[in-house]
Formats: sequence, C-alpha cells, structure tokens
Amino acid sequence: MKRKVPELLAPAGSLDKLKVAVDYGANAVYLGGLKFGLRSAAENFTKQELREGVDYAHAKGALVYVVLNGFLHDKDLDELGEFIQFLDQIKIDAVIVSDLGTIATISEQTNLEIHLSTQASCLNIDSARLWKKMGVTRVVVGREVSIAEAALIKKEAQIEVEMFVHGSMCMAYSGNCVISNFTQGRDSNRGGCAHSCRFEYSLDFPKMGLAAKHNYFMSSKDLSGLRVLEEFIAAGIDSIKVEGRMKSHLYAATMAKVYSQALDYYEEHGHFLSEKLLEWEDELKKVTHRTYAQANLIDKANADTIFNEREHDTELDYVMVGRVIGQIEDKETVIEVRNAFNQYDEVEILPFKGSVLKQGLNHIKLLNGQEIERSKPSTLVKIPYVCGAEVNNIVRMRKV
Amino acid sequence: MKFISYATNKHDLSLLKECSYSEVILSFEDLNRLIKTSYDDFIELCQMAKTFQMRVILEWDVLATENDFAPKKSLFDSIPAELYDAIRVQDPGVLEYVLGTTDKPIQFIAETGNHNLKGLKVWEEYIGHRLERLVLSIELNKDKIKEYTCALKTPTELLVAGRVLLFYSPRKLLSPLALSEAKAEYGGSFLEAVGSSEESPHKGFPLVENQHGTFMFHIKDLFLLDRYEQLEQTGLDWLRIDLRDRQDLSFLKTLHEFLAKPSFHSDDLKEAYGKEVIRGYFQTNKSDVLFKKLKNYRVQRKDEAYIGEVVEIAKPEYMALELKSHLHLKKDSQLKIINPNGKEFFCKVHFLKDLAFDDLPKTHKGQLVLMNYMGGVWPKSQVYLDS
Repeated sequence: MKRKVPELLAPAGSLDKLKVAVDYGANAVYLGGLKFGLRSAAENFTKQELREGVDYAHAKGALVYVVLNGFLHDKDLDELGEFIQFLDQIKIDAVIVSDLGTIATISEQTNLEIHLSTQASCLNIDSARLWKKMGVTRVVVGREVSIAEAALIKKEAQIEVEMFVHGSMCMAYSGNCVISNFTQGRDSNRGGCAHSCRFEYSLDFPKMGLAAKHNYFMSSKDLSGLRVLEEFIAAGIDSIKVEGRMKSHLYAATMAKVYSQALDYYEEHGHFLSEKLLEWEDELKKVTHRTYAQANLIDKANADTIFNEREHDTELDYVMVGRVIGQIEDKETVIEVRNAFNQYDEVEILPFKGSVLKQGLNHIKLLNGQEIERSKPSTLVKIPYVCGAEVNNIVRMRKV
Repeated sequence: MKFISYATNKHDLSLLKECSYSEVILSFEDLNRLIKTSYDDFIELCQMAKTFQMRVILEWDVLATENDFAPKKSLFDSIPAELYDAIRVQDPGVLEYVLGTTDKPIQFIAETGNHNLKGLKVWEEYIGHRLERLVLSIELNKDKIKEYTCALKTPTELLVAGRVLLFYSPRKLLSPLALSEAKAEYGGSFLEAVGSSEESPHKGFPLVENQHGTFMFHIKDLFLLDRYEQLEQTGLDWLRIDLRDRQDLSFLKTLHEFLAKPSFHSDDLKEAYGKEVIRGYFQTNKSDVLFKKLKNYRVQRKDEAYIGEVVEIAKPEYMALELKSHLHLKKDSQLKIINPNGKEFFCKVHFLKDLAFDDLPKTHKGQLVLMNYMGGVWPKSQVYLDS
C-alpha cells in the first residue's frame, strides 16, 4: 500500500534547472517569467521556454507553478493581463501570488488556480480564511509558522497548505523587509533584494555601554526539514517546498533527489527508521549551504538559528563539474565541463534514481581523441564509460 | 487635512489635546509592535482621551502565528468597547477577526505590499461600510497618491514624519549579542542598538528588540511636512506623525505654530524637526529601474528563430551546439549568433556532425551537434536561424 505524502515542490530557475528538478524526482516545480516575480537576477523563462517547460514537466507527470509574487505596482498590473492569459493558454497548474490586485486581475481574466505566496505572510487561521474568500486555493504559509500551526490552518480554514522544507530563510517576516528599497533603491519586493541581511554589522548598545563588532546578526541559518518529514506527513501538509531558484543545477538535483527518495521511502515503508536518513543528510551537506536548522518547524526559532558567520564554502562542499551529454558506444561517457577536473580525479555521477556512481578518471580526452591532463570549463570531454549514467545526469566532485 | 499621532503617556495626550487633535492612536505592548505602554496604562489613556473628547484609534499591528494570535484575541476582547472608537489593523488575520467580532469602524494599514489601486479597491469592497480609512504606503509617489485619493471612496492617510521601518523579524536578534547581566540591568524587554555595516553606504541604523522581535529603521526619518502644499494637492485626508522614538511630542507644537503662520520657510520647519531626513519615494519611485542591470540579457534567448546555445569552441576545428528548439538545423543553414557581449555574427553551416564526428543528415531537439568554427563566438552564445 502506498501512503499519502506531500507534493515535493522544487525551484526551477531556468529551463535546464526545471528539467533537472523533474528528472531527479520533483512532483512540481515553481518558476518565474521575465517579470512579476521576486528574482530579477535569475535567468527566468521566456514564453517559449515556459511552453517547453510545461510540456516537459507535464509529460513526466510534474506540475508547474508560476510565480507572480512581486508586490506589483499599477504599471506592472497593466502588463500582467497578456501574460496571465498566455499562462492560462499553456495550461500551467497554478500561479503563486502575494498581492490582492494581482489576485483580482487573475480571477477576472483567467481560470488559473491561485496560490498565496509566502511573501504575503499568511500566519494564522483567520488570515487563511480571508485569502480563501479572495479566491486563493492554497496558502504557502509564512516561514514563521510551525508544522502544528500549519495543520490547524489547513483544518480550520479548509484550504491547501504548502510549507518550506529546505533552503535559505528570510530573517524578516516575508514582505516586511524594505532595506534594499530605502538603502539601494532596489525594490526587494519586486525582485531587487540586495541581501542586506547577510552583511556584516557592528552594533553599539549606547544605553548599555556595549559594542558588538563584526556580527552577521540578521543572517539566518538555512532551513532543513528532512528530520521532521514525518511531522509534515502527519500534519497533512499538501506540499513541501524547497527554496532556491537562484541556486545551482547541483543544488536542484540534490534537493529533488534526496527529498523524493525520502518521500518514496515513506510511501513504501510508512516510516523513516532507516540508515538511509543519514545518507540523505550527508547528501544535503554536499551542496553549498549555511548551517542547517529547523527554524520554526517545531519550536520558535531562537538565537541558535542565527548563522552569524560570513558566507563561506566548507570542506564538505561538492561542486558540479559537468553534466552527462552522451555515451559513445558503451566505451566512453561525454561530459559538458562546467568546472575543471584533472586526470586521476574521482568524479561522482548522480543518477536520477539510485546510488551515486563513482568514476576514477584514468583518462580525459577531447572529442577528437586527444588526451589531456586537465579539463577546461565550457568544453566537451570524454571520460571512461560510466555504466548507468544517463544524459543530463549531474557530475560532481569534492571541492579541492 | 488633519493630523494624527500616537500618545504613549498622559503628557503626550495632553499635548495632542493642546494642539487640537481630534484623534489619537493608542495601544499597548501586547498588540503593538513598538509601544511600551502596559495594558493598564493604555486603559487609563483611553479614559483620559475620552474626557478630552478625542476619538481613540486602537492600533493592533503585530503579526502573529496562530499560537500567539489566540492570547492576543483574548486580550483584545477584554478591552471595554466603549473606550475606543475604531480599530487600526494590518495583518489580514487580525482584520478578519475584528470584522467578525466587533462592529467598530476599521482603519486598514495598507502600507506593506499594497502598491496598486486595484488591490486597494478590493480591500475597500471587502471591508465595506466598516472601512473608515486606508493608510497608504510611503512607497507611493505623490502622483499615485493623488490618483488613489481621487479613485477611492475611503479617506486616506500617509506617514509624513517619523521613522521608516525597514525590517521586522519575529526573532530576537539583539539579545544574543548583549551581555545577559547588562540586559537584565536595562530591563531586558526593550533593547536598543545602532548598527552599521561596511557593506552599506548608510551607517547607524536604529534597532529595537522587544517581545515581538527585532525592528530596524532607516538612519534618517521620513519628512514630508516641508512639502505641505504638495501634500495638500494629493487629496490626502490624514497626515500621520510618528514620534514614538522621542522623549516628547514637543515638535508637534512647533509644527502647528509654523502652520498657523501666513507663510513659512520650509527649511526652517525641517530644521525644527531636529533630525536628518529623507523624502523617500514621495517625488518618484524608480525602485525597479536597476533590475535591468542585475543580469546579462544577452545570454537570455529570444524565442523567435531560436536554435540553441554554443557549449564548446574547439578552434579552429568546430563548435558544439546544444539544440534547444524544434527548429531543424541543416547544412547550408544561415545562422545569426549573439555572443555574451552582445556582438552578432553571421555564418553558414558548412558541416554538421555528431559527437563521434559522423555526418548528421538531420538534427532534432536536445541533440548536441558539431559545426564549423566561427571566430568571436564562445560558449553561452545564443544561436538563431537567420532567414
């Protein structure tokens, strides 16, 4: 018997990343068009890419949600109509919205399903009830909401609930930070966040005669809910979401693979009592991340959830060195190189399902057969044949 | 235009009375983000305001998750209804609650994330006859404000002098940095600090931590009173002055003395305010114009005639393309290639081969193909059919 588990919703910062997330097991992806979202610096999707992305995801049984979650101004709304009609036409599965004017525009002009963005900071039952009356079918609750509180919201407001399970965290209530707006002239709530919360600050407490130099007091540790997946399931949370449209292909692959494996395991066994949990945790540590914490998922986030460090790589971090783009006659595997690696290095190939494939590189060749000692980014190279590798598998290596 | 302000003690309230304020915003520490007033003192202030025949606006602006919301509801329910005249709310959950449990007029704080007329009209429609005022966002410029005040049925209000809240977190971010003994000595429940970062051009952000979390403010106050005539032209009904960070409200007396004069120099008023000030977005809001610089649009594909992307250059033998569209590539196709610097190149396909260097008669989407090298083109260049 398969047990009910939440939808795994992964970020897709580009069409390539959408394919990565879907191929590695995400049930749904969220992405942005060229406007109206909160990630102006992400690659985002042109209309044709959106169409292709929807076709690709749907063909593999995954859903596509499009973010329109900026706090839109009048001139943005003026341009929105044509875009949402296009989204309706290509049959995306929902839009993620944070602004009432946007909701009204979408409701008037399309039949699109509307999810409320976490940006709207829906924190309690009454708030969810109000948004439901406005036409919202799902709320992505604020990241301050615990799993237990989210369960109450779902039950009492009779609405689908989505929660973040993994990724970077805003320290502020989402939508309630305008540091970038007033210090850098970039609207953080329309895609221009300058991440001022990650800056180093020196603080003075004048009334106390204290000074605290060199702090990252507004920088939050990253969220990881892997250890409490069972609580999400018991609470009946409809969708668990991974943050990170700006993050790497390796991140997209790792998140989709780990969390989908974990949910699959639960579907089959009804528990997480497995050594695999440690394996999955190790995998999550291999992508660049800040220290993990459970933030507000169980208890209120306390002082321990402040990262208070400069952003840095750790020795555990892996880097994506390329992706598989073909196999030649079961003799060699062709890789598009993204980061350089050397002859005799060991690379790891992340298959869509199953365990990591390790491959020592006793040779690296250019396509024309010339042997080289070190690969270069943005080249195609042949490495010894990796049995089980498929096109678009991510290739990674421990950072040196 | 009328003025409204906060009172946090009897002295403030008397001063507002003296300045002929008809309304006052009152609240207490459990329902308000920044007010330190206790529940009992709040009740006393409400009673005093009643004797002054001032309307009391109860402000409930804290954000709260479900478990924290329930006790706040109880506290709110315990306030004698005759002590206040209207409720000012921001969280949609609080709005929903007060709509269902009271019949008081509502002043809705639409300061966060309400930057379009359509949304404001939906709030107007939803709250209906109970909506007494809309508090507009300081991110709207004067032209937008004018447009909105004409189009809305509801009276409007704007912050015209006071601190600009930049950041509101439920987490306590200052106390971990302050010594616990010193914290106890200074009361502990309301910590204040000043923060500066080498990575920001602005130094000295005021910070407050209290039971609701941590708040950061702009280093300068918003001040629009020196543009009083422009404010009048916007059609705003109410101007809010928020001096809760000051010892007293004496500036209000000064302000009204200025306003009583037939004319005054706006710089004198600004000087009398006594702090460094900004006008924020009142003149214009161009906070989206820098977005264009956040990424390289040249490596973003255009949909029309798109073929794919260059993934490798092997000078002078070949270049490898990843075909990303349904358009077919064949020998003799004419191509336009745009490199990441935006430079355009035109070339003809002389050969097409697969990864094993075998000739390809035709191509398909997703395929990796090798074609003749073209100088000036490098990986991430975007390839289009040039018809």
